[in-house]
Amino acid sequence: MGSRIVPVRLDDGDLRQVNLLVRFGLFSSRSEALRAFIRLGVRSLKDVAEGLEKLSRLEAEEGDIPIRLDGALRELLAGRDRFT
Amino acid sequence: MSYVDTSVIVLALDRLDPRCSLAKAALKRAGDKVVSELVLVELSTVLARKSLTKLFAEKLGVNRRLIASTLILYLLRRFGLRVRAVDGLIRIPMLGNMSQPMAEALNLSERFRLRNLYLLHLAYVKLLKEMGERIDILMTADKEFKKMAKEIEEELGVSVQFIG
Repeated sequence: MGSRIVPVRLDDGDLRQVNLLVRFGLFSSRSEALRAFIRLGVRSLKDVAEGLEKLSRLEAEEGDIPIRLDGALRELLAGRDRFT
Repeated sequence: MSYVDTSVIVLALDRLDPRCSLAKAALKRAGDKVVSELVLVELSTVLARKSLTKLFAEKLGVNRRLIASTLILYLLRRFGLRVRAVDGLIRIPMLGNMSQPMAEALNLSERFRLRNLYLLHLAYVKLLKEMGERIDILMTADKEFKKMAKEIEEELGVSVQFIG
């Protein structure tokens, strides 16, 4: 698998944490640490990203937003009225 | 800029309501639109109560823990809505620390005499304005806000746009 260089700006606080992890030997370099964090983030949000893509596809197929809330406004307003 | 109440988003998705297309058009027409954390919570409750979180978790293959966020993210993007959070605590004499929206709702309760969720929405409008959001419209499909339009305008400097 190929790789590319992506410039990333980090704030001082985050960079300090990354440096600390490298200094403690958890990662051999800042690049390795950032690669690991990004991989974790991408993996954890993969489902969400794919879900959003599927929703877009469904909308294109159906010609309307695929999330239907029939009768929900009445229920929402009634619920607000019950809430003290 | 408009603060969009949950009721408008729900109405735009409620095809049984004849005002559905009005809500969609209003959302499309409005420029900068902001929602609060409270809108996200109300939306997630509506989605769950309609069993849509369960349905879409299966349909999209998204974990049940992430499905509400996924659907809400889609709707935010679809309607061009921006979320602005309010954090921080306020110290209320004798009562201790309280989250800002709660404390503001408490302050507004005497003026508006509304139920909790209405007060919380108004508290968010006031706090977001204080944070620099130039909110001048409260977009809603809820008659309770419409009834209080004059008071809301006077107290918060925001006009109520009722969809209906």
